[in-house]
Amino acid sequence: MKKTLMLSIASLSAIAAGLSISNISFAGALACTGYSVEHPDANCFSASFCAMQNTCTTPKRWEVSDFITTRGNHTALVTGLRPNGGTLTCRACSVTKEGFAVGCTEQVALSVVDIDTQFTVGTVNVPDFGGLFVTCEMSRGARYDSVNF
Amino acid sequence: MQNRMLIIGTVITVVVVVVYFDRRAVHAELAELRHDAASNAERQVMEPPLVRVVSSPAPVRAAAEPLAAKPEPLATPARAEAREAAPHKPETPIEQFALVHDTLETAFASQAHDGVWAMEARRRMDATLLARLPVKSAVTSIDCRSTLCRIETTHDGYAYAREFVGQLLTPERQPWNGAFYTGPIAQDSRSGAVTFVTYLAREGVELPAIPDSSGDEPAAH
Repeated sequence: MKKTLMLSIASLSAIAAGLSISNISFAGALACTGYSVEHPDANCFSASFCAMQNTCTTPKRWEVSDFITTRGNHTALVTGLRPNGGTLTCRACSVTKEGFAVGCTEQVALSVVDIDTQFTVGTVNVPDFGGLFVTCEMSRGARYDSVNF
Repeated sequence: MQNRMLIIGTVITVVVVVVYFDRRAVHAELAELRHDAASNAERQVMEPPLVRVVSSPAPVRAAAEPLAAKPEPLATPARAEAREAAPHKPETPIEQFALVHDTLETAFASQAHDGVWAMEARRRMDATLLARLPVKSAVTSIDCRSTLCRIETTHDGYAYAREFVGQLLTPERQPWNGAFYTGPIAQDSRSGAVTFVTYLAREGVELPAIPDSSGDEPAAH
């Protein structure tokens, strides 16, 4: 028992110190920090615990963005929910600091239904002081919870 | 055996904690040094040196001699900070896109021609992207290989190019659901016309990875 406890403590400490030393950081945002791509569609979205849900009958797009200081590759992981019979498709794009699109992944659809699931959207290269945005097209009842990149 | 494991566990924890605190101490020291350097630099700016008060031919000499020709005194933290604080020339959009362009150009050149897909890709591009080409934009060349299409376009300025890129971002205006990179590769200094190149991947195929110049692990953050 003691052995397991000590080993667990040692392992956790090693992981924490390793992360601190290597300067690896995990960025991301909750969906409610984003915005509706089409301004008039904003009323279609409702927030619940910072997750955004489309309440309108037609598919709507919600976007979450962040600023990236150092050039590099970022893999976007979206967590969301697709209702049975509905759709949730997302794409990640990078932009320059001047707001020019550089690259986008293809649109990736969530295949799992009726449960909040994290799925990989793809990797994009972001230039220095650029940005990254992840847009999801959501059918009625689909939910965009958060994004990591 | 249990005691031995306990000792090993404790030693590992102690080592990790020591390393962690050591790193923190180094960071704190660095922050302090930076703060001191910033204060010194600020003081130097606020208190002009005597040579500027006393009338002398020094400024003329300084203007005549290039800065680089002067012997550089030993670097002090204040000087280093002042150099860092100096505004650097920002990268142009062409420079920002250079790494992506070089990588994808090499990947594209190494691909073989795929007759069937390339023909179909070209047809779809004509029907969607090129049919709605913004005004003051023109297609210079289109070439499709096994998994990539390369489209070169010219635009009368960045504003028109932005419109073109906007079309690529709109799913219903894209020729197919594919990953892409697009960016400027040249600009006419007189007319302001810009040449853009777009690499559009075949659906279901990932674009070649761009080297991660930051040195970080891709996807780690």
